[in-house]
Amino acid sequence: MRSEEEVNKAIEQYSDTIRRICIVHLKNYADTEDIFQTVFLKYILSSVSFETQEHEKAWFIRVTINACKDLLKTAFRRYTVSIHDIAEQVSSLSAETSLQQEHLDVLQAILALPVKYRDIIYLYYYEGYTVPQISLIIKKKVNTVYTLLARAKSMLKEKLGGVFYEI
Amino acid sequence: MRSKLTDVFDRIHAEEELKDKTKKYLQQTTHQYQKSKKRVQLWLIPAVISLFFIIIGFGGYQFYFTPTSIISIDVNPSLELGINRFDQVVSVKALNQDGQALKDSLNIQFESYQDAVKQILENEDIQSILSQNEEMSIVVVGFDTEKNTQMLTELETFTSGQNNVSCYQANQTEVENAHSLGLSYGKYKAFLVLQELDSSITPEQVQQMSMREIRNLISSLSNNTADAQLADGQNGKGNRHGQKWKNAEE
Repeated sequence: MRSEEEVNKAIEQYSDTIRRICIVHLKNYADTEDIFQTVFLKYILSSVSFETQEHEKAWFIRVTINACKDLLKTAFRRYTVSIHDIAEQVSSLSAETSLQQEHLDVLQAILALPVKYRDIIYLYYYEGYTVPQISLIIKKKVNTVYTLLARAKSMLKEKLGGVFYEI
Repeated sequence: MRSKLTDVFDRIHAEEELKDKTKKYLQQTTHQYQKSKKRVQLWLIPAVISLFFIIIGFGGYQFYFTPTSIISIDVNPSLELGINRFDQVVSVKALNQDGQALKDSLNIQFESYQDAVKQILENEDIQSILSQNEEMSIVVVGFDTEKNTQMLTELETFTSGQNNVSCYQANQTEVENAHSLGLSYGKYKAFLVLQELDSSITPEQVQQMSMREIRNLISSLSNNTADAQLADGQNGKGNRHGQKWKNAEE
């Protein structure tokens, strides 16, 4: 079992990443709390020895994504996020983070994508992982990730129009 | 889009309240990070108990089955009985073919050494051999001199009614030397005497001879040497040893 000091250091280091992944997947704060607890408990009990900090970060990302998927799989949580829910989530984020409208539009467009595309967009655009790296994290074939990324981009282009090209 | 997306996510941070709640939950769930240690200790309990019994079992086995003394019996059948600290026979080792035949006809494992020697003396083959005026040598070997003496006294008392049976005491080093030559202790002592009288005698020859044959050979070689020495007007070394062997037997 990992020490309290080690766990607290990991909480400080990876909480923001986990929080962002939760936003990509979940619509309410209570679920986010569950995910935090699940992920860090797994970390405490895990005997994995991380070779590098990047390895550790990739582990947290993978475990968080899986925990979110597991949470959404449970029978009573099996739902699709409505446009109304997304708007509500984005507006609450807007209040907390003082985002400009164009930023909010981007976030709203991403959150409106099916879950399987959201992870890839987040990992590719924000975390800066390459497609082969993403394939390792989400345990999907490289070609599948390329396909998903292409589809996600296409959907975002449709939703965001000119904004999408301002990369 | 990347910069806008980066801007969006850069502004998202885990709330301090969320971190604190998580820390609190983890402390409770892991009982201040002690639970796994306890679990490990719980897993260790059966392992430690098993290890304890294994050690006790192994130690007990060693304690019971390790011979503390050896009784070497030679007629021509040569046997060695391993005697544990409870005076019980824990091993029977045959040192030649006749010894193996004798061993197979006996049931002395875990008997007291007195009963075992009694059974050997009462064995029909042994009785037959002894009645042909063969010699039996019984040697007690061990580190504990006091116990050896006590065993020797008991065996001497026990065999006092038997003709042609002699009892001796020896130390462990001599026995190891005897074993390295493939001889029982009784025959080894005789071999040492014989070798001084006639250096061409080999352990293999002695191994196949009965105690009576060895004794006769010693007597004959001693007499030859004595005669030769008398002729030279000197006292020979071999004669003294032959006499010593005779004295030891007496």
